Amino acid sequence: MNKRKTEGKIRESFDKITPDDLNSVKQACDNIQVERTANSAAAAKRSTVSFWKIATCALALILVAVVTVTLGGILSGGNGGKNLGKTVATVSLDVNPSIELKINADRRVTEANALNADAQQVLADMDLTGVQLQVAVNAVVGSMLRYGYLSDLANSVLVSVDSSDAADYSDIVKQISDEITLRLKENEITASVLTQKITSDKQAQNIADTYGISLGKAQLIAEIVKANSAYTADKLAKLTINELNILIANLPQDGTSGGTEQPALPQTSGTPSRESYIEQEKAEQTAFDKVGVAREQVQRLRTKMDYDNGIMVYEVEFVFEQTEYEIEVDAISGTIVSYSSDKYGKAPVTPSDQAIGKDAAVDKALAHVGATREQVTGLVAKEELDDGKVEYEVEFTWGDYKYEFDIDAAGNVVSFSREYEPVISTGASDEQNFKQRVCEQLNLDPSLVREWDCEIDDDYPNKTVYDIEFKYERYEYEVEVDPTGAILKWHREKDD
Amino acid sequence: MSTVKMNTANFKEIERCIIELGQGNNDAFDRLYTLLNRSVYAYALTIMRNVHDAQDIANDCFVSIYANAHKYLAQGKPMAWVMSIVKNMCYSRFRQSQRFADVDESQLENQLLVSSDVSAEDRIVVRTCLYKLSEQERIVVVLHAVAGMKHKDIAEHLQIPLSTVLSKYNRALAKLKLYLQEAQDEQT
Repeated sequence: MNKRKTEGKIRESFDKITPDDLNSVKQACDNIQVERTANSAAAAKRSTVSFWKIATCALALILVAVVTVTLGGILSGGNGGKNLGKTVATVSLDVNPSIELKINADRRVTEANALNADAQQVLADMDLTGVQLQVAVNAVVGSMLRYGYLSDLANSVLVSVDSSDAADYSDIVKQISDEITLRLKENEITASVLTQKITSDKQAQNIADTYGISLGKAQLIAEIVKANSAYTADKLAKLTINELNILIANLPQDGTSGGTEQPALPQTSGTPSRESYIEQEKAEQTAFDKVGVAREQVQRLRTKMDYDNGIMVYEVEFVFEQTEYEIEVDAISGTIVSYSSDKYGKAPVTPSDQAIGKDAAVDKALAHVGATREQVTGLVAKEELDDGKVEYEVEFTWGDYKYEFDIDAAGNVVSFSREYEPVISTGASDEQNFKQRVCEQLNLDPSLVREWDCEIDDDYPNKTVYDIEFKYERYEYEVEVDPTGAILKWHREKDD
Repeated sequence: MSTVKMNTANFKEIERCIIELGQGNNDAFDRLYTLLNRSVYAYALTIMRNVHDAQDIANDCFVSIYANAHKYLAQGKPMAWVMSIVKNMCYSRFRQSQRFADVDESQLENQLLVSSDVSAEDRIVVRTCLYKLSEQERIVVVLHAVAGMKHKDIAEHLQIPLSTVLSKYNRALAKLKLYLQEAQDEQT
């Protein structure tokens, strides 16, 4: 049985066992429709006072609303006809979903906005307008728990409050933090709540606009960049609050590191969850094994979590036999992503005529990762003279990773790094280009191509090959191309 | 319902249906159900390993699609959106029940026996997928082979590297071939 047949068999079997419940599902949908109409009619009739006589039951009501999806989508459309008065403060809750709650002087929600796609899912059809702030936070956090955005793997919530009244600010922050902590505690999760006052910072506003994130998260990022200029906003914007919280824990507490301004980092309670990562000891052991040294033998061991090249890593630093090692271990997979060693004092210089040569240096680098010349692409090797010493720089791409090595004249790996750089076909434009290229090579008219389907072929774990299927006139084509669109092999058969 | 592999044209159709549904055209729902039912149910079953839970979740998922279609942001990846709903509903159910609701292999076999048009071979295929593969392997297999998601979208959905998705997929398929071959040999 070949791969396509196996896939076809799986599809067919799942197809057969799938029940057809269309009618009962439609019935359930009709019920929603009826409830929506009834609710919006009822909401229009209610006066502010009578509606909020039942405020004590609001918590239960909101939770029911989340589960049964009863209320209509009037989230972003102001206060839905309820007279709630002026907005005096804005609270935003960031986890990965970003939700903004505007509140009036009575601490009732005048408007609830989903600031990203995750938040839309969290808010679903909840109508929070008119609800007490505490109740709204309870409902939002409950929904985040339900959808798995908050869990023992991610326990950090950023609370940003924009309020001109200082006393009011402290009070709001306390109320929200307590509510979040309590709600998570009910689910046996110890919360880590970050709180900050929105300071209409221009830089933060820029970050928020550029990356489409909430002002609160943008302000947090701006402050982290101030504290450590090695970070950049574009990289940090992709991280969740839990990941940012982990980075904050590693920032210098006593001032700036390369940054120009004194950062104003948020107040933090609790510690961010590291449950989704391997244990620090394990990462350290991986680093020790790489050097071939036991934990007891190393000195000045220092490990911290960091974000590098798009992934969370443990940065393990230590000294062994006059050499300082810095090794980064992928915090999720536990593989080494970069390695460097620096020997104190002068290393014995290998004379140029005894240097191993470029070819041998390439072999050393390939052997280090277990690749062969045939498997890698973009292989570049350079010989350089550094302070009278010969050194080799070797670069190549293997699978989805780009590797860079520094190798000394004697053939020792001085440092290497690995960066995740998938060759991605993705966008429509790439597919369009492929179609054009493939048709050129097969002498076909692209406009007559039907049922074009292009995807990465998984038969080649270490190089990128695209598998393309399409129909043309009475033939079905199967083509394999490399990332440049050059055909590697193809065949066609009569389509019947 | 056809067992043809999901392709780009299907995804476009799914997206169109969601958008139409969001605009109040309820007729689009039937088409959407036909296009998605197998993928939604298969994914729920893969995570829950319990026919009854999978059926509940698949139905809830369609209700949720109906209720939220107007919020769908068209980005050409409707399957990723739908599959996120399924995944979150499954995990939410796990959390609510505070237990893992899956049944063992023989119980699942019994659950599948209820339907008459499911052949012995189909049951073997499903059982093999659900019980001979690790959770991540079977998820990758179902998302690709059944739901037709591209590997890079699966990587994004599961938040794991593309290379991991590819290697898991290859390993899982090789395992499946082997088990199915064995089962076939036993039958003959």
